[in-house]
Amino acid sequence: MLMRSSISSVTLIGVLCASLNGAWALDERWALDETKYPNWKGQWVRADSAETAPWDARKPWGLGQQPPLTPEYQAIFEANLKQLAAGVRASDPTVRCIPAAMPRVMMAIHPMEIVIMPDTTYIMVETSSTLRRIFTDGRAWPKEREPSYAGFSIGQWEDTDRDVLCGHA
Amino acid sequence: MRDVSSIAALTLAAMLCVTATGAGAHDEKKYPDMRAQWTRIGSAAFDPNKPGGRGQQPPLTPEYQALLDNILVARAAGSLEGNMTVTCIPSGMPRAMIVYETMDVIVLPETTYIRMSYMNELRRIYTDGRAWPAKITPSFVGYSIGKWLDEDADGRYDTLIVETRGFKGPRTFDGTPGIPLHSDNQTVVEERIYLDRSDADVLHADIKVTDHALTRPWSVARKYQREHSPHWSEYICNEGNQQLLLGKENYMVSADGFLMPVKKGQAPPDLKYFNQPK
Repeated sequence: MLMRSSISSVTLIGVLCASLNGAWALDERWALDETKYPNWKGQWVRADSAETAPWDARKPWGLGQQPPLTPEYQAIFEANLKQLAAGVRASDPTVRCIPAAMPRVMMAIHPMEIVIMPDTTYIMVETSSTLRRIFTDGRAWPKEREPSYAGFSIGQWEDTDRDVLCGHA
Repeated sequence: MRDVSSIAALTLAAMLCVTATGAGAHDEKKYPDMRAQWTRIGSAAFDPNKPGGRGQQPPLTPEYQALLDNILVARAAGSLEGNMTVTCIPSGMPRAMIVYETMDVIVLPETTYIRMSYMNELRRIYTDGRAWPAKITPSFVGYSIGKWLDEDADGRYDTLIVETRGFKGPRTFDGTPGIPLHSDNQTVVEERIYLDRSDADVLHADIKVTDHALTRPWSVARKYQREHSPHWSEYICNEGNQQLLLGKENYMVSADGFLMPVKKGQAPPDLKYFNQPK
């Protein structure tokens, strides 16, 4: 009897607890416990300050980037450089307000903000108002994906000595 | 002894309960779950409860009513005058809350993010208790400060009240007919955002706009539907947009790449900076 009374008390509290915890949540798995995730809050700006914003910040702009392009795309690249020298920026889609897209958007020409939720990490880049959703809910790659400039990203958190979000886009 | 045992059990359970609810720096249970994708319920008029066009009956000053009348005449002739989004200028507030495509809502204690797919507009509603900054960099979505309320006193927030200022323009209340806001951009938008009490898949936004184009504040009530299995699309306005604004005139680029008029008898743009045949 004593045992039953204690158990029913605990059960009642448990029910109240579950009710408190779950009343609003659509899916308890994605309730945010911020202590589990790194604090990446704030505004992030590009650490290198090169005016030309090369893709590889450790190498000079232009041919100095030495991108490992196929011969076909090396020829396109060199033709684009000639156009740029003539003052034509036709090879840069952002001049027509087409987004910088991945991976270029991660240069963070303009600041970015990172919002971490358990199921999704959002990277909000001011350049072209790009929003990257990196799904960390364990989903598989969908069979069909609508192409987009930011791409479709799946990520996974790792608990190493650094906080690492590994992703594929 | 029996009571002591029960009390001990209750205390232990209560402690576990506190641990479970209070483990994180952000106690999500304090906030309503507004995550997922939201789509508009009702029409794309600013007031979804009234007919479009003149049926909106906006409380405009005589000056801005005359401006709207001119816009309606131009629209009837085929122009898209007064609707800046045709040239990929964002909707801005309060029009963004019409939600033409889809909307994300992400609630964190210090900020609530409302992100529109249409025009990629991102609203940051600061709920960290900050004061209004002395200087605001004007933007189309404005600068928003919010406060969470626990209106039903159940220990959990349910309503986000928001005030937004610091705009730039041009902005309109809607796309059609393109009801204008004042060019001084001194608009103040007040909102109450909350989940429906009987259906958590419905989100409400009660919006009150104070603007010098209006004779009195204009209040509307909008609703949104939660989508549980969202499909996110990228909305890139400039991709394939054939509308052009040159000076005060809008034109179109035809499918074969030529400039074309949008209304009968429209004069071509001035080509004075091009080498013209003599």
